[in-house]
Amino acid sequence: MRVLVVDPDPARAALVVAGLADITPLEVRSALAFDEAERDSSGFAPDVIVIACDSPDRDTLENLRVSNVHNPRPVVMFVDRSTPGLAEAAIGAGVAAYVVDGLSPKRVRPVLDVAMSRFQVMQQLRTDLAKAQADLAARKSIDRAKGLLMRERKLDEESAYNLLRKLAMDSGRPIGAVADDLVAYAEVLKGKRI
Amino acid sequence: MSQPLVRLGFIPLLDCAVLAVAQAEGFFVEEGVAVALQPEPSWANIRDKVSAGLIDGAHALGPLVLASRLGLGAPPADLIAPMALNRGGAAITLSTGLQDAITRTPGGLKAVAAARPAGQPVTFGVVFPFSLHSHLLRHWLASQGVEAGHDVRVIVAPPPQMAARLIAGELDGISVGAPWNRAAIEAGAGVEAATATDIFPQAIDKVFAVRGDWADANPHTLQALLRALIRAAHWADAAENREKLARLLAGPDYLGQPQALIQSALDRDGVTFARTDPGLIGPDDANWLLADMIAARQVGASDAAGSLAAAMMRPDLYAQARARLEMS
Repeated sequence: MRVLVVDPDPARAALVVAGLADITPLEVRSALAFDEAERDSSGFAPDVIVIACDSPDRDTLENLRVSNVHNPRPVVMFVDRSTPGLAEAAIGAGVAAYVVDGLSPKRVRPVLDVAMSRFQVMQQLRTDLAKAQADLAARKSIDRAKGLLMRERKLDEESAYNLLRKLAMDSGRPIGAVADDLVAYAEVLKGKRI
Repeated sequence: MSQPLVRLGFIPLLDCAVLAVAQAEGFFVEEGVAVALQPEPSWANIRDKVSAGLIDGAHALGPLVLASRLGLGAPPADLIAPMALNRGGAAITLSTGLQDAITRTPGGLKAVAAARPAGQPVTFGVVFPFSLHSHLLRHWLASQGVEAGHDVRVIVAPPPQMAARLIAGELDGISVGAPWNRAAIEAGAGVEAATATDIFPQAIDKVFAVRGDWADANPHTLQALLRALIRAAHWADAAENREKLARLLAGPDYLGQPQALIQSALDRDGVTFARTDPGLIGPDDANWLLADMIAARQVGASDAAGSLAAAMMRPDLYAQARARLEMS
């Protein structure tokens, strides 16, 4: 079974390709974009195309099943009707799959499962990274706000932190946001802003 | 009272204007509904996300909604179109090179196409197999005595790529919506060959699509959406708002293109949003779409197809929203 992974995100494509390596027999290629002419000329005729929903090439790919005069291998959207909700789950995960007509859904299912799980892994990694970056930024803001309070109010570090925490609890906002505001206001008062 | 956010998808085109205006001018909020608009990269995504319930409604090609009901290209889905979002805007643009060749060659396009070397056919780009643009292209090619897929090649590409690919010489002709024909023409790379406004003046282009069961479960939300969209359509057609509309659509949230191009397309490409109460669409519009799909051999004629088409448009829902607006 030959699989083409089309994904504008090369890191995510690599993750999917790596995941598919365990399924045999399988030949996998990936591309950033779906190029009909390149597919026709490369001699690699995929049985399954896994495409990221955020690729702008889905419509190009869909047309192949409608008019396939120049390429006799129709590509059909894969929907395993025996599993209700699978199509929704795949689209929700950001993956669409197209298969050559006549290929058994049972054979294609593991490919789709791998693609979906890898997309979810990537999404989790991105979310974790974004959270780590936000946490780091918040910690820097808190340190600056603590320093400010220690200088201006002659507090020790622990009291400065406790004051920030009380401000956050009283206003019902994250401590990082309160720290940001405090630093910003202090800069306005010092004439550094506006 | 806090309400759930209604998520609506759109494709960055001039005719997403009604959704953009309803959001930017606060019509959604005034009618009591909170909306998040999200751009989508393809019509297939629009169809699948509405069908799967990942978004609640969308800017959609009229024929795409019918194709979904008929199960063409994807599993059958009960999508409905309670309102049209625009008429006009779809057009065919030929590269200046192809236009010159047609003018010079006795026998026109058919002879030009036949003279091309094998493997380099005259190639047209269209936005989606189920679209007014596809219908327009088939009609125009037939008028030139040319058969799509036989004499010339027809491929599908996303609207924002069309002008660039015509300019780059990858495509010899495009059938696409505004502002992309104008972009090719103003770049000096294209010549207008036919417009939907001239050939099918009454044809609906984009519609507002939702799932039938979503409409049944959320009647008040849908009515609020329709009222906001009707108000937005009238706002978008008003001459005094055109400059503001061009600025809105040119912005990064929508088309991200020069305002002058958007203005030019609005002024010259015949797109209308509400001029003759075009939100009101009915079974005749759906039958017209179905007849074209049958003619294009995309689907066979059957009673089942006829009744699926007849139930696609929901003039009752539109009329209800309009009546409520007229009372206030």
